[in-house]
Amino acid sequence: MAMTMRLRLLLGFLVVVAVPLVLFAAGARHEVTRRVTDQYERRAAALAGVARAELERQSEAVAGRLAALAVGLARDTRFRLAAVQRVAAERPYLLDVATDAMRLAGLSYLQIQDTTGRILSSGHFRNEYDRLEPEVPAALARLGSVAAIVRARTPDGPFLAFARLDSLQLGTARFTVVGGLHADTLVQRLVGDPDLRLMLDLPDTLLSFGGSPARADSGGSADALVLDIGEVASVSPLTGTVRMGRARVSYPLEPLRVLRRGVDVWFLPAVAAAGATAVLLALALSALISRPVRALAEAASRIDLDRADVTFASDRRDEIGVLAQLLQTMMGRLRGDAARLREAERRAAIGDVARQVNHDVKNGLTPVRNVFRHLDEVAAEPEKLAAVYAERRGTIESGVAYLERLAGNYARLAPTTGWQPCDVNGLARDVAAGAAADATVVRFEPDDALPALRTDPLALRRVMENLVRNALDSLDGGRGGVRLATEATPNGVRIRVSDTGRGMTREELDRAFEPFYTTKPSGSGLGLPIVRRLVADLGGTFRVTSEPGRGTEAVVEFPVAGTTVPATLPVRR
Amino acid sequence: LTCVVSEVGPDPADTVRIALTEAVSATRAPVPSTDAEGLVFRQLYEPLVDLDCDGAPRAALAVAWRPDAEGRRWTFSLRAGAAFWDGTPLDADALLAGWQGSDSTVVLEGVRADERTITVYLTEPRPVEFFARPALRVVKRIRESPWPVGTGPWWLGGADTSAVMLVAQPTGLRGRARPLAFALRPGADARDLFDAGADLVVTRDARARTYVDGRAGWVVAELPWDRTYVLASPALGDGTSADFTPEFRAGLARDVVPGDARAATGSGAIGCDRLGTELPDRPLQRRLVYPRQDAAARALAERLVARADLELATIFAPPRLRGGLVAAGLPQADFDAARAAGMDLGYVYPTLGEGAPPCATPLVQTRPLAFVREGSARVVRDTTGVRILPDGPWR
Repeated sequence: MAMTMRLRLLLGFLVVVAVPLVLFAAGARHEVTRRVTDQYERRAAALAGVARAELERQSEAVAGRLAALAVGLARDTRFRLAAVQRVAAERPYLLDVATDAMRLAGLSYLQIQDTTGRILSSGHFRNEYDRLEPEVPAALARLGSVAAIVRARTPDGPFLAFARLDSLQLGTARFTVVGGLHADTLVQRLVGDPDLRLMLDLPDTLLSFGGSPARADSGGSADALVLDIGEVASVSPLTGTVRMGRARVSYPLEPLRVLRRGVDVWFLPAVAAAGATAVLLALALSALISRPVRALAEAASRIDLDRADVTFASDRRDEIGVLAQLLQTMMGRLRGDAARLREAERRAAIGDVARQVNHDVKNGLTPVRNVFRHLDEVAAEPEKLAAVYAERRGTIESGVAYLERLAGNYARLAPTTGWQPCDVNGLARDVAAGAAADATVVRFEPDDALPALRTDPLALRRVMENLVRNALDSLDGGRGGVRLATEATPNGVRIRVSDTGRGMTREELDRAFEPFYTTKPSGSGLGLPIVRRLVADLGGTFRVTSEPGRGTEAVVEFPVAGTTVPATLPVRR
Repeated sequence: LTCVVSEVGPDPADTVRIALTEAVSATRAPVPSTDAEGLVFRQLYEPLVDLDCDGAPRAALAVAWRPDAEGRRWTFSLRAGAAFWDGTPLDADALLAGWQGSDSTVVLEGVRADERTITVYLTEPRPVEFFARPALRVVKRIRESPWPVGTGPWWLGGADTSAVMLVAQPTGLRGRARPLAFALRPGADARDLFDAGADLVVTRDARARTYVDGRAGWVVAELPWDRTYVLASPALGDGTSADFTPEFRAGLARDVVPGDARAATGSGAIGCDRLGTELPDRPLQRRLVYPRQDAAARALAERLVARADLELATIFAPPRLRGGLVAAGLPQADFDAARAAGMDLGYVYPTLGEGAPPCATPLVQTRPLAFVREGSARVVRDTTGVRILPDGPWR
């Protein structure tokens, strides 16, 4: 399918605009996504670094607070009385001292134990006193400064605490102070980002703290960035067993995905809008360019020799305007050429008619002239004159009548529809008799079983006269003869006109139907073209066969059955 | 009198200021559920008979009483002019109407013999002290106010009641009295109330006594041991007992419960015969539940949890019952519902009086202390708390 200029313009514009736009969009999105991801990962790494430092700082801070508490307890006389001297009146003070100290120190977990590991006072579980649990202090003492996770017991349930250890000596008695921070509290202090999640990867347990609840499941999975921040230990409060593990932070990737989706949400519509704008622009521009071209083409399609009023007026100053001006100029020249051509045609038509009239009149006068010659030959013999006149009077009347009808037809420039039942043999006999005035005899061979033919007798006579005339002319006054025969065919009537004249070559035969082509010095060259036109007008067929030196045969056939009368005979102007 | 805590001074303030550290609800009047309600209701509503600080019956609405031989038919002679605040005379019908819903199952009928004599029939024999119970205080319920109408020297109602202050106006029916202003400060530190100018504070906060001890101008009255904290595990079934040693109970009283406490004595049974009631087919919750607002119950529950693998080992066997045991404080209504359902391992809660209910073993007993600013009011103590008397003669 041929592509229109508008489609080509549209596609071209799209290629020029859309391809760079798409490439730019893809590149920009990739770059934005890469930078966002890079910044997100750097932020997560920075937060992990902060968490690592904060974890160490908090661990040291807890150790520092425990050291201060130990110093304070050593100075506390009531504590000394209760813990060392076991003064009963100070026992309530002893039971509450850890609670108060824990709150003052900002801790979540605090136990004071004697040298046997018996809990003297518990800050996070006030009524936990008297329990014997030496394992935790012993384990913490072995770990030193490594952050340790201890499962702290409270009446409401256990919690995990990051714990450190300190001790104090009162006389001969030694006391340990175990304290720490609630893991969740520690996580909140580590970083302010609620999305950050702290994970303790222990040999057979993965503990996680912090992070938004909705994202808790993403901790440690492929949906989160996981970064290692250091070593951590877990201490069993019952057995003192220490398990070493790694502390990690996880940062969910969902916000990053949301960020990317946000980029896409704004980016893709922007690109789509730009693309749509480009398409609309392309449509508008292609329409702007192709519409005047299409208008010029439509105007050009209306150009005809009879329709030379088409204009290509345009007030544009671009190439389209130049093209319109050129077409308008060309149209002006075309109008002049058409006028000249019509004048030439008119003149040619007048000459053609004049030649045809001349030809037809000459054909009509020939039998009359032959009769007059015949009369003239017997004029000196009155008895013969009367006989000849009586014999040839019909020929004269027929020829005159023919000329009258011919004149009438030419006067109307349109033949009347003179279709009527016609006696073909009678008509042929008149033609043969008319031509027989010359020395040469036209032999007439009628078929008596010829069916009646409904046709225009005048046109049929002109056909036969032209054919007989041409046959006689081909004899060149020499020997030989002309034969006019009628035959009944299965479909109608056949008329043969044959001669034994000089015949025609193949080239001559091919050109014989061209108007004004003749091999005779006085010929008009209209005989055969007129015959062909008349036969065609009468609905018959016409063919000519010829052989140089042996003669020519013309055959005309008219159908009888089914022969239709044209509503209007073609008129040659 | 040993029952007198304080006498009014020569130049008392216009109002007696009483500070309360708990909420007060009129819907429970005249039966208190907290120390604050006990203090308020005690000033407003009177029983037929009072008990003094030694438990001896004393005249209240009734000035004389006489039982029949079985102790099931009691005849009370009312004091002259005994009437409700609104002037309605006190009769047997009003008496019984006020008792509806309390201990009326014991009280069968009341018959008014004449203007000053009422006869009460009981379903079972009871001593006269029975009529001193808070549930048998004489009240008349009215539509206009959530506060029942009483017969005492002070009338509480109308615009004088709010979430922060209850003002009881003298009825003028008996004696010369000043208004009582109850300041509602739920959860407040009793020491702050002293400093804020309260004339009377009743609290179980041990820090209050330490704060007041040695300071001039204050009188401290030890009130009766009116609460016994118990442990109940009804789900364990009848026959389950807790063999707490006296030393353990003493330790609870000494080290665990804040305020004045002493070891309780009594049965070790904590399971309960549920009389054929089928427990729901679901596992017990491994928690010791206590009423959230009760600090002593919380401390006791925590201590039991801390010692679950020691003192409770023989009770909560097998060990799976003890593992992961926690203490859980519930609002009072939720606690009551949970205890009724019985699907927790144990319940620690206070009961009124010195005894323990069936299916529960007593742990410790506590008592409140009344702190009275000297000379601020006439205050006496009895078996139900402290009572403020009108400044002048009132009987």
